Amino acid sequence: MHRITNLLHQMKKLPVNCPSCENPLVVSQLSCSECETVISGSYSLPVLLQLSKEDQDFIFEFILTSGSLKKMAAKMEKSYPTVRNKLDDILEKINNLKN
Amino acid sequence: MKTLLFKPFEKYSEQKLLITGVIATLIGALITYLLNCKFIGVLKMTFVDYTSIGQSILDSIIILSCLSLFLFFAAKYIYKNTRLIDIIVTALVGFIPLYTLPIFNINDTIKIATENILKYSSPELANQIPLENLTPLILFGLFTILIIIWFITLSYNGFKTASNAKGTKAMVVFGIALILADIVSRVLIHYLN
Repeated sequence: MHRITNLLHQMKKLPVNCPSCENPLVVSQLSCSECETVISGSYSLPVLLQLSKEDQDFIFEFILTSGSLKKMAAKMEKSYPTVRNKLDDILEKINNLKN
Repeated sequence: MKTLLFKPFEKYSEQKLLITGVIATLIGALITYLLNCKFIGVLKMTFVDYTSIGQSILDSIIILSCLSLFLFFAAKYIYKNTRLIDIIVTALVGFIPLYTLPIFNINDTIKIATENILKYSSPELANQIPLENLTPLILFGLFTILIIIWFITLSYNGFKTASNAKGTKAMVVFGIALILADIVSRVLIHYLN
């Protein structure tokens, strides 16, 4: 479990907003690393990927602790309401992204 | 250190905060009893000739209950999932700074200084106020301002954490709850004495 978390931390940060105009980016190209097939198009990023790295890590930890905010609070060395507030803020962001 | 003094609610569990708050309340009641002080409202302390330990504890219970109750209603208004325990620890821990105020009244210093100054209350005697009486009162006044700022900051941070409150609306609701808790606790302490 720790290995997965470490791997996530080592991953390159996926840009989700245009550095020039700050609008959301879309996927325009996908490629197969084995046969080098390239698919072009315009695909929206999934909502979860549009969140910040910190928020994605939080959701990942939330899943790893089976959705227990108490366990998360103990692991993060934060109080329960602080962790719950963070989750609420992420839910609000997701709702805003969905709309 | 900043977290410990101003934002302990973000880091420490409700169990730790509750134990700290209850112990601090008992110590605070003991200090106010030993130093002849009396909290007669959330934001009001006075110096008396005598008070009992039972009365000091009862005053603390009334004040902290009023504070918890009004802050809980305010927090529920902002965020429906607010837990009562988070508001209780906010009231208990937030009140800790105020327990330092009675220390100024060791040997009835503030009470005696106030009584002496009152003898010079007429305008023609105002310039004859003895400095040895004025100095402790000025120091006490300045210290009180700092402690009240600390109390409000600490309590607001606890309220904010408990209710996920943000922005001006939260500040206004918190302010109203604090004033109402002060008024109701003053009335209750007045009638229960």
